[in-house]
Amino acid sequence: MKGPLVLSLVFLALPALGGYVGVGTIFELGWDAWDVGMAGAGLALAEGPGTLFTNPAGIAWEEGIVLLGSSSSMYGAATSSSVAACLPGVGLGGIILDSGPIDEGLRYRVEGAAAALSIPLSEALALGGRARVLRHVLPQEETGWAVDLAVMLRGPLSLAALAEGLVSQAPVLEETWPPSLSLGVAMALPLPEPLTGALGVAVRGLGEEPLLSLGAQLWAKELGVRAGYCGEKFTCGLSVGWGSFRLSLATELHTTLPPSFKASFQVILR
Amino acid sequence: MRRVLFLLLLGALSGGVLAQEPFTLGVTGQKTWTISYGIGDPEALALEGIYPGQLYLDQSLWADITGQALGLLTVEASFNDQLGPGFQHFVLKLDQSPWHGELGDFYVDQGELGVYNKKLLGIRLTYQDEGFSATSLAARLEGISESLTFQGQAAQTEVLFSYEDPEDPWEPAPYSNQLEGAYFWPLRAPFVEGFSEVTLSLPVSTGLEAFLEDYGLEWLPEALEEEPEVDLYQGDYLVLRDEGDVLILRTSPKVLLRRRIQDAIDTYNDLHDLSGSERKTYPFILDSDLEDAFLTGLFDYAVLEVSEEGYPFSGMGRRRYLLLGEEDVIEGSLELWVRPAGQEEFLPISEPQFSDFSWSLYPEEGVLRISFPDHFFQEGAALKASFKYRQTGGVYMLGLSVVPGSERVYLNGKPLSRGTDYTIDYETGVLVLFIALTEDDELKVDFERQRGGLGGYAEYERVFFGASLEYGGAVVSVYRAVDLGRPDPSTPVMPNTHSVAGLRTAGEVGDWEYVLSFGASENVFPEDDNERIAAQNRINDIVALSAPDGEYVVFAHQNGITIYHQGAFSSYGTGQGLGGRAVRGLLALPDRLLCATDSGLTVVRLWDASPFDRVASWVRIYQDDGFPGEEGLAVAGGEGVVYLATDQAVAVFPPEEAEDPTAWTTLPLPEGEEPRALAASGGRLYLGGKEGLYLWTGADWTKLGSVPGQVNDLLSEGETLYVATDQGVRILKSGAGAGWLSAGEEAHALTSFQGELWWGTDSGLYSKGGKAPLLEGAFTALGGGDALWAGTRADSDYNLDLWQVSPELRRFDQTETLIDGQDLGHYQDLSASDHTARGLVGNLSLSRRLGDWDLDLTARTRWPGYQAIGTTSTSDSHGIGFAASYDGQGLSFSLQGGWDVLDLFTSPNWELSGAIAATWDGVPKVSLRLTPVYSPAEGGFETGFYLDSNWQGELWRAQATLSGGVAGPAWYTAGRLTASFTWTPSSSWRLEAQALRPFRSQGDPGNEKLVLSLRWTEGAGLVSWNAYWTENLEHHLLDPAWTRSSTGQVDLRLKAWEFPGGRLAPRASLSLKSAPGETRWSVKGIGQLELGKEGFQLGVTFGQGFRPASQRRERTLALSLRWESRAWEGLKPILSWERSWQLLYHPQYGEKLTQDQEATLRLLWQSDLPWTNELTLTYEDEGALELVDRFSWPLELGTISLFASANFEEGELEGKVSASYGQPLMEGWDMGVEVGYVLGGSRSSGPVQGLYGRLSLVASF
Repeated sequence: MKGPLVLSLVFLALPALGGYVGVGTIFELGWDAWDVGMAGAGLALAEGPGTLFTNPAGIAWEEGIVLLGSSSSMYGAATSSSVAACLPGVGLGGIILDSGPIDEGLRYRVEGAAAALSIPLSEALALGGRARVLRHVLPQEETGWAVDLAVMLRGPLSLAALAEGLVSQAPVLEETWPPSLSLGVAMALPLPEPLTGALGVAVRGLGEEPLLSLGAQLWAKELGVRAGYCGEKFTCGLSVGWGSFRLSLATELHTTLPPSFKASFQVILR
Repeated sequence: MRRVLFLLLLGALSGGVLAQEPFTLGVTGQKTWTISYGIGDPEALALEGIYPGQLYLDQSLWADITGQALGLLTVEASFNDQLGPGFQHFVLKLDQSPWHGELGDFYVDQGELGVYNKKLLGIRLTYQDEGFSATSLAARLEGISESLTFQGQAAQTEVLFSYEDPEDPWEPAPYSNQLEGAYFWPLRAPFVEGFSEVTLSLPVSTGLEAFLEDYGLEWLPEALEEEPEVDLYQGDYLVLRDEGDVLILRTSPKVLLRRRIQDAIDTYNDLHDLSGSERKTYPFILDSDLEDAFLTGLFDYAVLEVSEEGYPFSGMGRRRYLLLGEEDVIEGSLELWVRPAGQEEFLPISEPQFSDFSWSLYPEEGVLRISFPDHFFQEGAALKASFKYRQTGGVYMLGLSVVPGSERVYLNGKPLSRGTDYTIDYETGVLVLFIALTEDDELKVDFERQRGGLGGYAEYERVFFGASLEYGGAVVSVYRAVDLGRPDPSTPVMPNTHSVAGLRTAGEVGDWEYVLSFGASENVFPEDDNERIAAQNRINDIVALSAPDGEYVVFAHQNGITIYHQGAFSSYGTGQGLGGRAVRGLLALPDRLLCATDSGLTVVRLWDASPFDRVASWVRIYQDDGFPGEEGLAVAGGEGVVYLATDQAVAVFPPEEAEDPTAWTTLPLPEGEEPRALAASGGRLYLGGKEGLYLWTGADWTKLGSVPGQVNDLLSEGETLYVATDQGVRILKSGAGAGWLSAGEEAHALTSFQGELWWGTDSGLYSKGGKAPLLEGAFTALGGGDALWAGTRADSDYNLDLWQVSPELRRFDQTETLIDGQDLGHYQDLSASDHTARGLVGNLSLSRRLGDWDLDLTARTRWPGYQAIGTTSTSDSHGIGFAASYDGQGLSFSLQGGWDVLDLFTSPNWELSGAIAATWDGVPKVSLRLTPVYSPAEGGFETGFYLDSNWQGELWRAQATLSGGVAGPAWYTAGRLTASFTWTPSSSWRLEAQALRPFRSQGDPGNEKLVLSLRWTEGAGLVSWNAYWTENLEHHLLDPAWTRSSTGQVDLRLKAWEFPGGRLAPRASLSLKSAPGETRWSVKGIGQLELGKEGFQLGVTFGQGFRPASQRRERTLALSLRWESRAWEGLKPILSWERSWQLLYHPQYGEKLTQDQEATLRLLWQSDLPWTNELTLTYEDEGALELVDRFSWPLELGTISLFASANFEEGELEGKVSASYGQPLMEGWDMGVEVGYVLGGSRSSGPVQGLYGRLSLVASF
């Protein structure tokens, strides 16, 4: 049960692997179900507290206080959970990944936190910055951090860019937390009322291991469906909103691994 | 395809139907956030799932969603993150005529192409208009089809007894399957259950001390004396009542002795309080030659004691009892076949040549007693036993992770219903059947197991897509299921592609109705023909080394290493201590052997005799330990250093630092190179790889252009370097090319022996100067010390030889080396054209009504290559048939017939079959059925018959049935005659008699049975009773002696006696059971007394039993008392106490008394006060004590709860005290706070404790 989790954690936590790509991969576990359902293609569509983990520039246009809790079942083998909160221009969130006891004296635990600020330069343009702290707790305590910068242009054609690890220190001294760049484009679909929809494309991880994501979403008022494709993954999801709540579910179908599920619950205080 | 269909769905949405009322939604569920934190001891906090000093966030969510949008879209979803992925559900349905569709998970029903009940995740879209419909789907299969068949409560099995393991013929058969049988001792005194104890002892003697000292265990006698004898587990042995009592070991005596030694080592560690690296460990590699010699040597000192009588291991017997592995074997079902040594075929034991082989069966114990001549017991001989045995209970295990709703359960071909006939737990795969099965019933369960779930491992993702068109009465369908992905070298099966197409049409021609269908399938790599063939094993390296007990030669190969020592070979793999499965290179140091494996470096310390058989000799160094890479590829020795090539670097270290990778230095690899060989000489370091040969310059690698192609091996002699390449053997002098020793054929290995150069190629083994090969074959490794050894690559039949070339030429085949010729970790692709099944299926049925008769005609063909998607069955069957049925007043009649051809494409055989059935609904009601079959291939004619008559009067009912079969031409009949009579003269009395007599013209006829039962239920005035008595008489038809067993019971209930202030209600029962094995009776009395607000219940049970075989008598007495009081306002105490005694008596062993008791006190506070409390205190024998208290106080705003528990048992204490408070915040929102203290520990380890706190927020919607 814990095999894939342990492998993931070993990948993230141990310096001896030699490869430094993916130091901040744990923050992708903080994506909410909306982002997972789009396979990460919604870089230029970012909204809600989940945008803290995907594109912090999107926080600029938030209204009121929004709280988010996400939990996921990964490949039927492990679970993770994250929380995030945002108000206009400010976001804060964290994620904890804990393997539980594996063998006598062996346990992996990683904690991550992110804080973001975003300024709307105009009605269509926002500039955001984010600080991430990554802390390996077990089996060895080490801390690293990175500062990221994001920009987003809203309109019929939305554009976004996110530069991660501009300034950074990896948790392990001999390592580096290399910078990477992600670019996203999104286009609103011309649909009759009450339907709305968008298509999104993103290239993430330029400078590390680039990944191309494609996604689409369709909304009928408070009911939304979405689907995406990235690498060897096909994703789809569903959102429903009522009152102050929005519930999003997503599944990720991998070509060789069992499916993963993600559920996010938003509370909107306006 | 998926995206196309998705866009189609979008198109349907925007097709001008958006004017309707758009949106309704129903969501119910709960979301919980919990933050936990604890301080204290990790062991104590582990009970709460908390690690000290760490903050935890746990979230949970469940939600059920139903929604409708635009009047045409329906959403259904249910999510629970506490369940696995297979238990989540989501589907979006489109329902707007003529379009209908589903996106998400849905099921496919039984179709023409056999796709049954599969759960899919994907999209399905249907266009349905008048007279026309088209459906297409594209989805991923969520499960793996499986099918299990259970043969009623009688399971069929087969056991092989031999000397060799049938799976790995070079290994001995497991203990339970050894032809020599189980070890046994005839007991000198009767074994009496409850009195006799079986213990294993190793009495410490001078001889044992010297023996243990030989194996470095001179410290162990102290621990053996501390605990001189240990009890054997019940499952380790069985006692058979043969000519006398015989104790048979179910567990191998070597396993018993290994366990005894391991226990003694633990005792020694406890005695000396040893921990960490100081702890003593079992020093032997399991099942190694050294361990085998050690345990066999212990036979001289080990003694089994039964009732204080000693039975030395050296006096054990064999060749008499074989354990069948199952109990309650059905007599008459056992068939035995014998294979004498040197023969390949099994022959029935009834053959005349086995006239001196005798045997008998102990069915209850599942033991076969044999008496075979000594000359039979030779290697190669075997005995095969096939039999049925009875299972109990209606629980059937399907295995974990069954896809919900995917099961189809059939009893004798008829489908059963969930909830009515059975229930199933999908997570654990437990199916509970509500129907009692007979021995002849067949229960078949088709189901799907979740891909990637526990127990449902799949090599590939599988997708399913296809379409069907229906117009008028015709349906055309095409479907394909495909495994996605390419196999990697270790994938054992090829990806499957299964396509089917079908046409079905129906209509009328004149008075006839017809249905005509055709189907065709192509199955590339079907399930029974997709196993990739193993790659060939090969010898990768050979070295000679010295250890304290002499010289060794070590052979590295793809499955580990094999050693040659003192004329015998032994193999070692990952189970024995190697870090990786394949060993690419070896280097023998003076005190260590280095093994470069496909998972790091393994070091074998050569410090003790038999070093490979000692656990302490093996040291594994992986990447996590600092090994510079994942795989070790080559290893060589230089001047005082070792060079080790990995897939990422070349490590350099002095020999004494071989186990400490932190002391190693590393050199980079040549760019893009994969090393295959290393050589160091004259201060130069050479590396050979796939791309060529390189020389280390001190800062970088220089490629030597004079050596083209792939380098397989290197040999340096002074200034000369010999290079085995894929083009021959190249010679370099001082780094410059100096000609070819051999050219035109790939050379794999090089060595120098006694001044002469040798090399191996695919065609043979060559030496310098010789033009023809000394030996023919594919030689891949050369080496050795005083002798020259050569190793080969296995041929296409997986034969792999080792050769000792010098001083004398000698071949060692696998019967001696025991090296598997298959590379157990790598496979080769199969050719699709050779592993594709194609076939057709066709059916025509015609039916009409003719007066009072219904007529049906059928014709069908199914080719062996045809297989429907989702099924695993194939058949080669063809036939025509007819059926006619008549249903008149009081008489019904049917006639069926058919001609079938089976195995038309391989060995055709045919059969004619028919069925005649008639029922006359008169007095008596009579039913007759005959089912004749004529099959030349089966040897002739066979018919089943069934005749049943049924009478029913006002007070009685009688039935007689004759059923069975007749077969010819060697005429044989078997069946049974049953009769029953039931008489119910009044509502109080019921008398029932049943008789069964089997008949069989050949073989064991079976048992005749008579059952009489009487039941009397009556009530009269003060007393009412229910009494029954059953007599069972049974005898084997070849043995006139009847055995009798009786059971009876009387339950008395006296009318409650009411008196001022109370009432008394007594009950009593008496039961008696008498059978040949045991006679037992018991009497039980219960009195319920109510005195005012006090309630008492007193129960007394007394019983006695006698077992004639062991002369053991047993008396039991049990008392129970329960007191409950409502005398106190708000406080309700309940006290219950049970105590029982069992007294065993035996003429020889005397008396033995055992007792058991339990007391529980519950105090419930439920007054007008706002709070409630429940305290429970439980005491059990041997000092086990448990205390639990629950307090709850609902306040105006929230609820305060307190919980305390303490459990003390066998010296270990666990306790917990917690307080929690729950507070509603607003509608739908609740908050909870909990703080707690946990305590644990034992007398030996001391106390452990911790404090924790939890804060929860719950949103309900």
